[in-house]
Amino acid sequence: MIALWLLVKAQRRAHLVARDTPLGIGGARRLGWIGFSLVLFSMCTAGFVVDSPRATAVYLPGLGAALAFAAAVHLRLRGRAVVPRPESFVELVSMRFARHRLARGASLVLAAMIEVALWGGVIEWALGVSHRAPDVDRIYLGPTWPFLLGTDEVGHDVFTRLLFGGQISLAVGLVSALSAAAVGTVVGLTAGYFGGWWDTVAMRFVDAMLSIPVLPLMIVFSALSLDKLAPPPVVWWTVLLGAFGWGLFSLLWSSRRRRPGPRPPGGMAGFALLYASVVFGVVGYAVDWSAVVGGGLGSVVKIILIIVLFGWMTVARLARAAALTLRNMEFVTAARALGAGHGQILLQHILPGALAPVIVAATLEVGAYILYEAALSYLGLGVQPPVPSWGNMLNNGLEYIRTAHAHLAFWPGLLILVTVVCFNFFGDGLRDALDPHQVMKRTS
Amino acid sequence: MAALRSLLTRLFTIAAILVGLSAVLFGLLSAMPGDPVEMLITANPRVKPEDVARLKRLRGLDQPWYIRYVRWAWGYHQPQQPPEVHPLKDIVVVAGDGPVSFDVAGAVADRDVRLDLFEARSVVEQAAGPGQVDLDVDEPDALLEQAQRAHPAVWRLAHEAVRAKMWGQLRVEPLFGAEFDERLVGVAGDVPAGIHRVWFLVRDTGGLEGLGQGLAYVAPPFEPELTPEEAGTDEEQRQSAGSTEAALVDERGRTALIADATDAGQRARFAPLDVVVAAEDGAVTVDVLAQFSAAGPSLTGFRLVRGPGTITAGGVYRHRFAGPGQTVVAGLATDDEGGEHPFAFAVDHGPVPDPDRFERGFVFALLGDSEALGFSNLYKRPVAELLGGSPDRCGDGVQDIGESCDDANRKDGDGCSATCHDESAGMWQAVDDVLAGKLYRAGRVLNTLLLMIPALLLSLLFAIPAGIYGAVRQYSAFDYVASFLAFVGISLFVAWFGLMAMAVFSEQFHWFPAGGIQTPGLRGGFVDVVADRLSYTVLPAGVLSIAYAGAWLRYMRGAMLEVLPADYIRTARAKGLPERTVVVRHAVRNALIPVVTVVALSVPRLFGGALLTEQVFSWPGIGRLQFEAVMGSDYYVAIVVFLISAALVMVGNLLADAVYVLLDPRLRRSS
Repeated sequence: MIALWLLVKAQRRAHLVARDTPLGIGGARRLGWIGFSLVLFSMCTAGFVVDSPRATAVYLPGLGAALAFAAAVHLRLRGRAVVPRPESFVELVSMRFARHRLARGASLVLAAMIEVALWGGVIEWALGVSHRAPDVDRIYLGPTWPFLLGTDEVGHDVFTRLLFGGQISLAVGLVSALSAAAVGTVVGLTAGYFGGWWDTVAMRFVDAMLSIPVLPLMIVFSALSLDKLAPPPVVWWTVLLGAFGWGLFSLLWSSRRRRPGPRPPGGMAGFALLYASVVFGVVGYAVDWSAVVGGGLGSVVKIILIIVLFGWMTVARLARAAALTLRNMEFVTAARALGAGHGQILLQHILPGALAPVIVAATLEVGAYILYEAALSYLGLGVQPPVPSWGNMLNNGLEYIRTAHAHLAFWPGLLILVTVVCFNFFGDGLRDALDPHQVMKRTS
Repeated sequence: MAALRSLLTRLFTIAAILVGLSAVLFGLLSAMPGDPVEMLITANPRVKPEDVARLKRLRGLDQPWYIRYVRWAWGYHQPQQPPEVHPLKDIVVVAGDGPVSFDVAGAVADRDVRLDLFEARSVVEQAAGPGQVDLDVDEPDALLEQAQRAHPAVWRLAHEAVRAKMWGQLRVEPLFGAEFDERLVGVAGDVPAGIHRVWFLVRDTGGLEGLGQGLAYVAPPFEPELTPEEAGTDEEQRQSAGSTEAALVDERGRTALIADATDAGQRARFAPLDVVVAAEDGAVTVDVLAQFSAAGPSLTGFRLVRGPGTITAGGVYRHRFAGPGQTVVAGLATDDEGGEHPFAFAVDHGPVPDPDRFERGFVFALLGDSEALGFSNLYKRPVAELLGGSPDRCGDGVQDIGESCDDANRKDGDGCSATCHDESAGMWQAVDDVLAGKLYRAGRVLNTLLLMIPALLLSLLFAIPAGIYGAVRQYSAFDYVASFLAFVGISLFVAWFGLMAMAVFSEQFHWFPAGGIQTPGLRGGFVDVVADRLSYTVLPAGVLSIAYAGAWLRYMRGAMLEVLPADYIRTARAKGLPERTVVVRHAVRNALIPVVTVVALSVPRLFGGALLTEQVFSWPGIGRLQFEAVMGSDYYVAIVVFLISAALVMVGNLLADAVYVLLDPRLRRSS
């Protein structure tokens, strides 16, 4: 409900931007924050697919935190709105984005789809149907009340199954795009900034990965079983505690010694280690992995890992290119002269400059990742039933394509098409807005 | 000089990537659950754990993966892989009174043949003859509905019809005096009632050979004292016969059930020779005497009915096998009461080498040794043959496509030459036959190319003119529509789109066949084969081309938009050249340069899309082979196919760069 309200506000903002009225605040930034909170919210809802008290104990506060975060961002932005900042970058970007009508429409459709998918549980409860419980008395029903799109071969309600499948498919696309962008940014920025052997190794690797067909490799990886590859819990805990200790140590160390000369591992890296170990520890404890695997979400985690493994290369290249141009800029030299560490320079001076192409690439990749998920699930290697995803629903409906029940395969495919088209339009609009060079090329 | 150096660097990089990739893949694949030996073993519950260990040792599977990798790449001294003797596999029997029919389709089915219930419509008509079956064959949906739900009899008939069609591809050779009629039904004739074992040999068009044995239950003759009510309807009889059959062909407890059905003497008579004997010195030795003396009366002699090797009086069958593949051995043993006991077994053997033979690894395949590619466990064929196409099947008595005669005689000089061509026919006929045969028996690589190249050309045919026109008339209605469709094309999920196209164009309108690559058992010349293949190609190539066209349309349009405001275009216009010349000769030529690169660079994506399309349309190409090989733990095939596609992609990139330099004089001058 709150998300819906935020959505309406955001769309109203977008509308304002569309009419080119002077804005106080960046509609695009707000859209971004709302999108982020929606992603969090979506993941939390996906977490509810697992009926585990331990998971719920973490997800519920997580949900609350996400909503509070979204609300805080909203209020903060509204508070800022008092100060008009004409011709700011954000305003420019939002105006440019709003000019791309298809992208605006696509963002609306996407937001609506995410919203409706998130309401899947409520809709299911209201209709009194089930997307997971087989019902042998009600198989192959046509569209009737309350089965809006009929039922499939074991009596699942197709409509709510599409909603829950949408949650999974969208979550896979968004989470893998975010993670791949994160990995790619880290690798690309460090490679471009530090250069040397790391740059050579990383970029040769990226070249190699980009020049081989990915889908067969993905098939090989998805045929591997995760539990065989995963080390025992002792290893995990050792790594986590080690990372925590090392992060703490380097943080304290670097905060004590502020002298010229060779510097110990920077505070930024220590903080990142500390943060990552805490987050991984909490998540690792909170999620009851056996329940996850039993509930079928193991395959979702696995497919995200696989997509990230093969997806970070494009972003890495873009980030490296940005870092290469930015690292010799005067402001970077100035920052270094003022005593800033590598971590600070990377985070404060180089990352912002590299962010625009990374965001655009990540948005465009979401569609591709949804397609990868669908492809793997279609081959029977992706998300495993009973957890629904559009891909495995398609795989299911495949058998009935020659019969009177061809619609079972039609709907998930159509939704995939619409979603991917919308993400591509959205990314295209973002590119127009964020990358003026591209715009000039396109419209001149 | 610099160009040569950069070329060498590129080639070196490609080689390094390929080596690294193959090593990583090898490690990954060997980490996958289920190795080839374990997959073999699941088919046979009688194999003991020590057999498994021995087989693993023989195949080198007990070594760590890096040693296996080096062996795979370089080769090793072959540790004399002995042949394996397989027990015979029962092939399902359809029992009844009178003729006994054998369902051989399931046993040796060509994997590329699609078992398609839908095709049953015409086959039902053919098999049963008009008026025999109460089916409206013009209503396929009705047939399907009936077949699937309403009448189990129709369902079975449809299935049998489909299989009967597949039999057209199979060649069944009866052993031990059984007779088969045209439709491969064993004729029992005056065989007494009871259970009989019938042996036969099945060979498909791929040359895959299998020995089948069937338990034929021949019902007792009609007894007049039964009233018609007691005898029941024909359908009930069929069902009761069916239940006996089900009991007999139970997969696991087969022998026990036979024992239940027959007395002790009969059990001896039916006992197949099913010991697994693997000789260590490259020869297979089966002690026939020991087999029979345990169960029946003493034996006086043996006769080899079919197969190589010799049978000694001591009760031992012995042979050294050479040449890859599977050999079926069948013989007759005679006891002192004059009774004859047929025995048979299949020997699965690779090439049996010299003691010092060096089995060449993958590296030697690069030097042209096609045998170094290895042997596919899944398809039981050499990998080179799988990829490059099967050779003609001469002398099997069936005039296949690509043969102008075949009289089951392997000798030259009686009309057919060694290449299966009638020497009296003209040269053109021979050329036609050879081409038709090559195309009909094309390997996976050619199949994929025959799908990808039409798709590529078709999509360029869409994309380039539309991109040019869209750029020249920017913001026109055409531009908007084309751009929108291009976005849709990029976002298409190929598998779904293929399915929908199949549902509409082949299920609804019957314009094109629904999947597959060619009609099985086709007869005719090269033109017929091409026409047949074309009808199968239209749908998948169309689907793929629509998916590709989107991206290329956008690239073409973008490149044109970049070129059109350039100074030289303005100059060309100022010279007074017609607009058409300006666009075509000045703008398009320059805009095409980056597009060529992009087309070459998107070959990886093309391969990915081709995998899904091949899967949807059951197109036996490289992508599907790769998928099946990975899923079926056929490691060598998986790696080889992977390396082939990766090498193709990288060489494509190299060519793209070369073409780029050739097309763009500016680059040539600067380098």
